[in-house]
Amino acid sequence: MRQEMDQFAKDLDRETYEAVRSASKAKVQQRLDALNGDFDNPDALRKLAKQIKKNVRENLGEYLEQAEAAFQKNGATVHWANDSEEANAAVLDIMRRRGATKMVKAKSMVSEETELVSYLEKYDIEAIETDLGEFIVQIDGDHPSHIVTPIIHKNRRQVGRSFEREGLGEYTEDPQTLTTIARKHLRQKYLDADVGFTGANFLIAETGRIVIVTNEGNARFSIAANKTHIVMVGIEKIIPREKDLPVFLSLLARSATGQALTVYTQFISGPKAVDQPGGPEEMHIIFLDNGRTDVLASECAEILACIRCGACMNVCPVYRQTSGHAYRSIYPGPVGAVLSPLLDKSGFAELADLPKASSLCGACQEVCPVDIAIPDLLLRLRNRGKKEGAKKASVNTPGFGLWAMAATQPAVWKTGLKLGHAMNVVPHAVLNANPSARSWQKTRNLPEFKGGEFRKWLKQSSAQKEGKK
Amino acid sequence: MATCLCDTFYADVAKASYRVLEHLGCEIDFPEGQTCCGQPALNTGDFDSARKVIRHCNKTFSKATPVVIPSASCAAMNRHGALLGMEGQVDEAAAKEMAERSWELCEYIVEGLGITSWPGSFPKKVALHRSCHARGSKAYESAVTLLSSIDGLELVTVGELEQCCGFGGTFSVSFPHISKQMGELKIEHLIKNQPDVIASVDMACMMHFGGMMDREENTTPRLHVAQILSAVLDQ
Amino acid sequence: MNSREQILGKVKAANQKLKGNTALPSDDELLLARSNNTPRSDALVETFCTRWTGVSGLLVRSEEELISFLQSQEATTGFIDPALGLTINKSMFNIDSAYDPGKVDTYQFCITPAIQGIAETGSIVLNDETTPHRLSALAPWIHIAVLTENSIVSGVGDAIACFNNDPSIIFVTGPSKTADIEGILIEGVHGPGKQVCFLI
Repeated sequence: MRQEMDQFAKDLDRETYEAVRSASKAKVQQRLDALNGDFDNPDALRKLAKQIKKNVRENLGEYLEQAEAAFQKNGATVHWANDSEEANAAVLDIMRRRGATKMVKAKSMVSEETELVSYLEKYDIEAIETDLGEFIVQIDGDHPSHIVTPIIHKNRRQVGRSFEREGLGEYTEDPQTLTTIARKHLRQKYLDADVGFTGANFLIAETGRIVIVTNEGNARFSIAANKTHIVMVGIEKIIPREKDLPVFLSLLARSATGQALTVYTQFISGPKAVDQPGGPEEMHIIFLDNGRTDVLASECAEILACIRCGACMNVCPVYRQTSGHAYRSIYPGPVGAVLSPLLDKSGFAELADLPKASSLCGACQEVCPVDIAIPDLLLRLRNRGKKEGAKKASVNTPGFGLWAMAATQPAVWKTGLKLGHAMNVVPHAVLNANPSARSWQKTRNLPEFKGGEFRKWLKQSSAQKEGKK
Repeated sequence: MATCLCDTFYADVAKASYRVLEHLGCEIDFPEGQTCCGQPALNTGDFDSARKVIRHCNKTFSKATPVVIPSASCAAMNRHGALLGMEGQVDEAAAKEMAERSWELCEYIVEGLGITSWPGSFPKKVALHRSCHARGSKAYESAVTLLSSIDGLELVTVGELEQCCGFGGTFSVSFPHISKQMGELKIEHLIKNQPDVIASVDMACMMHFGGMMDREENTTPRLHVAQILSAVLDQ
Repeated sequence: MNSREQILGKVKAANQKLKGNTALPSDDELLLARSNNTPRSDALVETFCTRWTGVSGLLVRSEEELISFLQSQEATTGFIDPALGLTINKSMFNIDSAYDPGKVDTYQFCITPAIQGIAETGSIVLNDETTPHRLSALAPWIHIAVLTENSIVSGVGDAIACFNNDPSIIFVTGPSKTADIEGILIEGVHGPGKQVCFLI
């Protein structure tokens, strides 16, 4: 029996593996160039961001109330949703009251959590993804494999075939042409739609502003071309004061893509200005819980600092081998290995193997713009998996009860050091009776056993020194 | 602290480390009751077993002297992992106290004793592996300082230093395919600039990718940094 | 208990448990967010121009240059915000002085004001109040933002400190782009493919 993610990695086709690996390597370098090139001490900045998010977690209730009051003052309507069902129902309700049947949406991971699009489609509402990568995912009936670059697992030929299949144009694999086709096609969708839906990267409590960060202009268009703007945002996205924002803006795009800022950084506080002919007359913001309050109350609360930059999965050596779909949930990579078992509707036991699929190398924490101690959180989740007897976590995991016994009784330990020499004379195939030894020996030789040799040498050389005295 | 890996397999590394510290004039104590830092159990999520071993470790090394360890991995366990494992326990103070005086070997020499240059000559190209647990410490930088000060020793560039070799303790047997893939990428980077020797401050990593090299009959010699430091003393 | 009360109740209970007293950073500490690209006040225009062109922004400094540029793009049909007072020779172009949303895909270029420039990042700032129609700054292939030199500020933090209660403030840092397909950079996705700053 194999751990699911190990099997997934083994079965991964070469094309996907190469696409993920080369994209990841490029982004790791771009991030380094941007942060080290533009700051003398990027780590100090990361620690500052970490501090602000810690303050947010400690005072979240007050900040949410402050944000709500500020948004209401700015003319926006705030809704609160305990879970996916409530959030989706709120969106449907708003659309119905506005007589709206067509939505264009920007990329939003929370809307993937709640499965908004398939929910709306049940009620005959057309909801079109406008981010190029998400659009391709949508027409393919696929799932994103990365939270920033959703189709990192696809190449241009696959995209070309998809466009041709959907009748968007003749086959081409030229990225420029494909993008032009998408621009034309989606342009009409923006103009025909009634509602623009977005997420938010940040929620400023002090002044009641959302911040949306994109490169394509799809969020801008979704909003500008429509009379109703609906936002869904996780309650952890709060930033306390407007002046705290530059800390996060200086880190987000650099960590994600190596840019100082993405092309469009939007600061939206309410519906359009009275004299502005274009844009929404109504703005609705749905504050989404969906398990976040449970995480906040848990020993993994720190994961709520995440600003969804994707740097962790870009650097993660395990993500590179498995690609994002191996995580069987919305959030892949290191952040997903913590967040998904806690948030995903599948529940902890179903995803308890995710925290195990890591060598705890710490590369993720090193690149995290808010310095989340992901390896520590993974360990805590491993402990939870063990305590709860989560089967998916324990596959191919050796037990350490006996080991602990030997390691706390020096006499037993020393006996083990003597007996272990048998390893050197017994055919290694015999050792394969032990599953860990078998797994080890599939691809590696075992070193020569030299148990107790150092201790013996030490006694002898000490005796020699004593003798010389 | 010799580490369980040196106690069982890598006796030569423990010997070399001992000789290095002796050369520096350290008075060395080897508490006989030592076994393991507890990390293998902690990493599988078995905090209960880990705590037993951590407690034993704290007791064994309770004397208020620096604990010097030829392993960045075990040093990181003492300094961080153990604190996580003992969080909220009544006796967590003992783990915190031991954390304050635990050192990886090279970091102890350079940062603890202030020694930045090593005598002798070693006219070889060395590829120094950067183990993941060197993160959060100066173990790697210290090893670089010491090795590059040795006459004739040339440290070759190793690419993608931030990419883990794939050991990760029991990860290596729980996720064998991914571990192997990571190991192969690491070996590729280590041998790319044709080193004469591959060095490491961590035998754990080396047991993994070294075991793969042995299986593939790649005979590039592998040494713990302590073994290089010790070898040049014999000149 | 409605959803709001339920959520706030759980959040506040968790906040109690966390029992933390982590302070927010001081203004001095927040200065860490200013990158090395943030210029001194005597280098604002120069830095802005360098950074703007560095993110593939196009720069013109006079109406002659602007006209040349439009001709080079074979762009003749456009909208120009009358508030700008530009004296472009109307006979060479087909120009509306009121934005007609029905012509959203007919306009080859639109010219509207920017309220600020940010030297640190090479960004221009647009808002609802001074943009005649949101689509006029967003939809055409060529968008020209008119910016005065004295409205360039040094860094992102400075621009944010100037925020008023305009409901839609946008930092534009170059033409719209994507790298979704194999990480290859393509300019001109949903927004302008040519983003020009007419700096006066």
